[in-house]
Amino acid sequence: MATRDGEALLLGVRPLGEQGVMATLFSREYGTVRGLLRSGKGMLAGDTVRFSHARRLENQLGKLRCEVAVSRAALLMNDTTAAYVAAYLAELTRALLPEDHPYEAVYEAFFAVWQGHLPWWRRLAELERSVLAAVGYGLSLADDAVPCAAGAELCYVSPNSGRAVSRATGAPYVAKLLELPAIWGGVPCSEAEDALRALRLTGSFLGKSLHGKELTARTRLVEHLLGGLQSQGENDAQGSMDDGGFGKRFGGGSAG
Amino acid sequence: MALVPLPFERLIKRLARLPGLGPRSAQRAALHLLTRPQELADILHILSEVGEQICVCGICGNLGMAERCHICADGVRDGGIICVVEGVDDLWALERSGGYAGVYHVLGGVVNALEGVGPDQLRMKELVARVEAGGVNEVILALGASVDGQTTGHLLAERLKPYGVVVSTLAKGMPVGAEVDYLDEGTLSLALAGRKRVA
Repeated sequence: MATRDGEALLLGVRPLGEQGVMATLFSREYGTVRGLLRSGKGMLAGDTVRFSHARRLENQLGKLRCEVAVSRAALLMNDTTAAYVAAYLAELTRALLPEDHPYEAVYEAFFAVWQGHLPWWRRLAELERSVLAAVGYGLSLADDAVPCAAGAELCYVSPNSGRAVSRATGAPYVAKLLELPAIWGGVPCSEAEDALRALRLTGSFLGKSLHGKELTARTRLVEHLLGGLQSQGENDAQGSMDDGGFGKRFGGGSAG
Repeated sequence: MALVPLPFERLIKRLARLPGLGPRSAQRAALHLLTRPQELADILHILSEVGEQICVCGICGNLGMAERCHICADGVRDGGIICVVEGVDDLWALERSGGYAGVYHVLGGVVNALEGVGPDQLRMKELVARVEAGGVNEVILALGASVDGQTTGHLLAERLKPYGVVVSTLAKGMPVGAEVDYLDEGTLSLALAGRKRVA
């Protein structure tokens, strides 16, 4: 009997029988772990749990024993954004990360999403950047992809290589390039515009890594975040955002 | 030679797919029925009757014997309040409480990212259409206090926002009969936030 234990984030539970659930956890040491949790009806996605997972063979699902370490779910349920984020983390893990493979950086990023104090869109963008790096689509945004004069202003990102491109180098290809967000060294702009840039950038590469498959929970979350920033911008006396193009420029919030 | 006849094996396999039954309990149930022909005939008759007579209400999604279920057809009920539930069993639970006199809307599930259940697979459009048609003052979200249930609730609240109806949700916090020191900190925080003045 092989037993594994540790601390993990509870990503989702599916009822099984009268009291049991099929639980999906994400742990630092083992990545995604799934197993049967008897009497697990009270377990809620979003909580941090201490778990023990036992199975006879590697290809078996195995049995889980869990104890809540940090109860977070009850609070996040009341917050629309937090509830959408919880659903998105589960969807992202299912779509992109294979089971039983550790992703330490992604685990840290998942926790940073819950514990951070930055705006939600920034936490989401940073999380997606970490996930992309973990699955081999790391973005290299510090240097120009094409060597040119030192100190050149970085404005764009190549949708193929994921490397930053300076204004001068990228000028002939503007229509094809992605805009580099200010939070990652791009040209300063409004918060709403920067959120749009960042989420378009990570969304574009997530789309590539998923071969175009859409993440519906992401679409929902991003639309919600950008919609909130948009109305915030409209309420702002100095807000001068172009209303008509906001949704369209994001492409309907699709991961691709 | 097979241990059990093929039709019997097929019956066991089919029964085992029902909720709450495993292969062993399915085998016991199948054996019980096959050794009691009268009981089997009764069940066959009832099943056929249920299949012919029970249908899904075209308005709320409840089970009934006509195009409109007995709740939607009841003129005494307040059609201005719609209580949104995940499934018919939740509707029955609320009816048992006897504390609700409005009408219902059965969603048919909740969004679940891990299972790939999205809003389009639920009866959300039908609910929005009911609200859009007018005459609705309040929508009560009686969905499970899980992340999926509440995500569905937030999603519905966003979709119903343009129509200006009151969207409320069931209270969260201390269950009746619970002791404070047994509750987790999240539930306690919710209970504190939702406290009621008593004097």
